[in-house]
Amino acid sequence: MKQIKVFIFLFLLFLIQGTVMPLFPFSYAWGKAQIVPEFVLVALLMVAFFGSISWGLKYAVLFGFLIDIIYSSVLGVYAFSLAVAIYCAQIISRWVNMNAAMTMLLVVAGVCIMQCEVYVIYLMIGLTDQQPSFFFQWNLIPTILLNVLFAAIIYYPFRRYLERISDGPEK
Amino acid sequence: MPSFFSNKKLIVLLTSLIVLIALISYSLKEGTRSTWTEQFVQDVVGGFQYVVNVPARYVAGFFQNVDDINNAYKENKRLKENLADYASVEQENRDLSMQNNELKAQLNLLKDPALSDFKKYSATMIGRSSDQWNQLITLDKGKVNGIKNGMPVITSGRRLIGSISKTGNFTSKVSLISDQQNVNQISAVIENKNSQPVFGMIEGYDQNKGVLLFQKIPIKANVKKGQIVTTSGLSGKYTKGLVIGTITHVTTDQYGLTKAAEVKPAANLNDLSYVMIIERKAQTSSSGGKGN
Repeated sequence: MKQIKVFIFLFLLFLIQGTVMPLFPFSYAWGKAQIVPEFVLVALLMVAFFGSISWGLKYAVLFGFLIDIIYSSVLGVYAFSLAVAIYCAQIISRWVNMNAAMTMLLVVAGVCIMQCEVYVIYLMIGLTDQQPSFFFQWNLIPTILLNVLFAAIIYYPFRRYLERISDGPEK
Repeated sequence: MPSFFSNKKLIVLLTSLIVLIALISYSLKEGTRSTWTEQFVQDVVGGFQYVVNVPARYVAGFFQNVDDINNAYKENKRLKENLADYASVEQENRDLSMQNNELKAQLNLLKDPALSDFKKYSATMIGRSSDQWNQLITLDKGKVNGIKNGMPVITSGRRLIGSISKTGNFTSKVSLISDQQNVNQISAVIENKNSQPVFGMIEGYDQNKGVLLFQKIPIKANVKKGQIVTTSGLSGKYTKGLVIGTITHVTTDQYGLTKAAEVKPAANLNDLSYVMIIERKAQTSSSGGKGN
């Protein structure tokens, strides 16, 4: 029952990232910059940090396939990249003390891993011909900025909620 | 301290890599056909997207209005200048179309649809891939509305933006002309007032520069910066006379046998909301030249 709420929240973010964001052309107003909203990834990272990693990975594969089917033309890339990014970030998170600043840093790491993976795979299968320098300068940095901003907005309420539902069954 | 890779995890990773590669090669091979699972998911999510889209559009519309008010004065000035020519251009247009119809009637050509005739279906964008590598948008019309694969999609002013790449029952996906995967070669033409039309092919998109590659232009053709490129109506399902863009740069191709040009798309591909899907009336032979 509690997971359903998380699922609905994630699904809403999934819709926002593809349906609502393109309506606001602010992301294109800034020259060549390509700002990619990866809100699902940010929320999933928090699920993995403060909830449970197994649920995080399950959602990652599920929403990865949704992104693949709805928003892209090649299956499997996002499902794989999301799962790997979340797994890696979660492993790092076990070694550090999780506070707000650390979470933001790990969100940066997660978004980096995710974007690089998708970029490399797309480059290999010839779906894009973007140059690496262009990617790092115009795609990666603005994307990280937007997603860290989003992470800062949802950090406190979402963390509290996740800790409440993951503590719930133990008591 | 947990170890980074245990044996079991390594096996899981390798298995998922294999699955990934299998899925990628499957979907690259499958091309434009979509399986029923994909269609089902696309339609179900499309319903939710439609619901979310309506309020979001209102909010976005508000910001758009504020922006419009800012520009209104400048735009008004420019439009007034154009308005002076309007009456004469309209009159000329009317004369020409009347003359055209009369001449066609004399030749008994009226019943055959011209290459430029088409039927319109209006549609709303309900989704767009958020990364910039996939240039796909989702529309709220599908098979039940008569949409088929390969139909060209335009925005206001007959500006070409792409073609339908996948259809579900109630939604369809458009692969924009800026999509690297869009392997559709579009036969294009530059129509000069005085000289012969110049034909060529649009073959791909340069994501770093944001321009379309217009190639296979005859070496002697008179191609200049600023000329307008339109579809020629000779390939696939594209009707004649859809505006593709303006030429920004002309070179010769790598072998020096033909000319190549860079074309800046006429439509603003980043700010789309209402589009039109068109079906041309002239019969096509895109099914491998078998028909007709």
